[in-house]
Amino acid sequence: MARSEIMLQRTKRYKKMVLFPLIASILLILGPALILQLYLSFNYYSIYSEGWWASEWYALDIFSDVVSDSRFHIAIVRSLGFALASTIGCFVIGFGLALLMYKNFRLQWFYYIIFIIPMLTVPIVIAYTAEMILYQKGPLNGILSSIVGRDMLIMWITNPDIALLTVVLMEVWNWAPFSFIIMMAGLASLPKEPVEAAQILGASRFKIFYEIQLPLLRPIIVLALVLRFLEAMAEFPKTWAIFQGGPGTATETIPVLIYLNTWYYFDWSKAAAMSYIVMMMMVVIILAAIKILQKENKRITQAQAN
Amino acid sequence: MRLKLGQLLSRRDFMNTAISTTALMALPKMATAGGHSAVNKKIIEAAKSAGTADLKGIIWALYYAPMKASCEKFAAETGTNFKDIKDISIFVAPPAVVAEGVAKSPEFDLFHINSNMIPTLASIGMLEELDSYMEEVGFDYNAVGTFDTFMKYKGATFGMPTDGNVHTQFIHWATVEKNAAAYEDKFGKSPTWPGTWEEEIEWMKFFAPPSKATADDYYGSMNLRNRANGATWWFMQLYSAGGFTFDDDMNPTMDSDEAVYAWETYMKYKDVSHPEAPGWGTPQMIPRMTGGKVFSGQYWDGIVALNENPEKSKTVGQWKYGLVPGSDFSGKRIYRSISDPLGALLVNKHSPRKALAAYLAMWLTTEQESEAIVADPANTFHDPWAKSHMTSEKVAKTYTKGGLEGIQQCLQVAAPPIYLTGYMEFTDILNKNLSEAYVGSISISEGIKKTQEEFGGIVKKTGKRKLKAELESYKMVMPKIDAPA
Repeated sequence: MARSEIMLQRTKRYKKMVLFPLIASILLILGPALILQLYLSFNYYSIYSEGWWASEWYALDIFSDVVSDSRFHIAIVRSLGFALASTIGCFVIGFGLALLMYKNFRLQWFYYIIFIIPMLTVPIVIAYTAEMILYQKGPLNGILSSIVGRDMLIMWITNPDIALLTVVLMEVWNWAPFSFIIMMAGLASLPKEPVEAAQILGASRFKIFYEIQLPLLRPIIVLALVLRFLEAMAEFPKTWAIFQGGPGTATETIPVLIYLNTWYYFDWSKAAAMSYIVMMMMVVIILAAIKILQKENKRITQAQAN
Repeated sequence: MRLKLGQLLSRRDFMNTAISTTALMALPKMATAGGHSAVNKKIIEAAKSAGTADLKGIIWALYYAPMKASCEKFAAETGTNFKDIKDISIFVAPPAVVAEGVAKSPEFDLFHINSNMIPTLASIGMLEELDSYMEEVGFDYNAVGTFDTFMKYKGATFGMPTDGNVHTQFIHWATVEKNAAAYEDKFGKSPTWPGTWEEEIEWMKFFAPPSKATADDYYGSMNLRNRANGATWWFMQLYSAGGFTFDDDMNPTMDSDEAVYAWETYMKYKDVSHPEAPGWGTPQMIPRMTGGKVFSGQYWDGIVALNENPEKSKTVGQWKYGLVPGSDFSGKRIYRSISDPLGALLVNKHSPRKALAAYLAMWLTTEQESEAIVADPANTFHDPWAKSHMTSEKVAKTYTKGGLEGIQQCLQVAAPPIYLTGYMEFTDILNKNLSEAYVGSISISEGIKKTQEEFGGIVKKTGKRKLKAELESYKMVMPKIDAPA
């Protein structure tokens, strides 16, 4: 056996050894929960019955009930819209701040701390603080009024057309630092040589950013977007603390609907089926993201080889 | 030899005896050894014979605070402590308690929770029946009206109330006094008290005109219209119209004439409510009350104590409290208030310490102990509910005499929300649809149709036969009189 082949086998074995405890723990912790959840999705369980083991076999009826539920459809659309908007918002702000911050300057550490504070704040505190700021006669409308020079009486919390946007704004404020940190790390890890070479050749700052830095950052960008999107899909504390799904059903996102089904309606089978469907959706998104990441890595490796 | 009365009993002795007897009569069932009433003494004896334990419960600290002294007293007498509490809000306690019940967990002995959860929790089989314990010590609720029926389900008793929590009518009387002459000029009568929902809206429009509300920052209605609470008001309007939520066969009657009336009445309040009302709960509304920025409405009676507390309110002495409005919709005047959430102590059937937990729950509910609990001036989370509370000077100091009169009237006509298994789901569906209609996302007729359909779905899912068997308990909790005595 060639030496390179032996090395390759050793590397593979080492990778397995490192990953095994992680996979085993995940299976041990998540496995039983996922199996029970799957069981409940196919067997109707009522908390008033003897026990979950005595549930009645419903085949695909529970899934079909969920899939045909218009409230579930709307909640998915709402969640996707919310996740998309907040992900873009977080990324634009986070990346913008990272571009301003990645080169060393005086008091950089101070700004760094200031920028990551929102991420360190407990979501429930953000919700209650935001609520006070967002009243019709609250400070935010006050500031907006002084900027535009007329009374701004936006009903951030009570207008059903605006309520979800309010949660988006809270989410962006809360999590833009997450994108900021990832993009800071990405910018710091970029090789200096291509940038220096471009500078010598007289390329403008925009051209350097657009044609050198941005392509090299693409895998990091994909990662930052995907991680943030997945997190946003699961946002619950802020939405629940202020809105409880209201006004009307304006903020009834997937986590809110699953919570209601589990802990208000005690319809655990329906909630389990909903969770499975959403989990499958997430798996598809993750697989797509992995595919994109692999493609990006391959592209960069090829470019570096050339 | 014949003795004169004066030789047998001096005038001083006679007066002392008379005063003592009068005092004893004024404190029924009290005056036995150790300063305890007869029933409290029996509870202590029963608890002592059941052994000692450290009890554990799920209770909100705000509710526990005024109970603490009484729990310590119980511990000193019996050796049974109640210190270990899981502190969660009464609003989020139901899921936690259900989880305990489903797991048949013996960890907690007592749950302080909304008594409207009794049918759901009893259906899970997690509640201990308390009748035998009550019989053993001769315990009586001595509740106002039929308020004790809130603790019963299918003929058995499952709870000990610690909190009346009945919606009482609040009117910012300072405004009425200021504009009484103008009211008389316009209506040809002096403002006495709004008797119906329609009259209340008329009062709100007159005393807090919507056209001036924004400029004055003074709005007519203090009633909540957010997703979590709106239905509480709707139920009062439905019941007072003579309506009910289901027919005898457990078919929803959410599209009945009375239900339509309730929907329409509920929506009429939009004209006199703050524009942000659809998102407001108690944290937003209470400061408006204590700040004198709202005119009237039906509200939880604990706020009477807050309004009249000079340390916390700018409007001390400016309010009048009384009976909630009624309705003539059925052809006769019916008044219906509501108690929800009604804080009560329930005992975990799976606890090995359930007997001790039952004795402690009864101890806290006795006239002797509950007086101080409901009279607590700082933590006004337990509201009066027993007859003796209504005549107690201590309680009156916190709630004022006028406040107590209003509470007593409303307690006599206090109704529950949907007192059935699935209470939380029924209520949330109604809240959701009312909220959607209130903010204009759907029409009233769509809201009614959706509620009727969705209620039908809950009945089907929970089991029509099961719910039909519970209907009698629900009806038992409904007030039996149209208006308070």
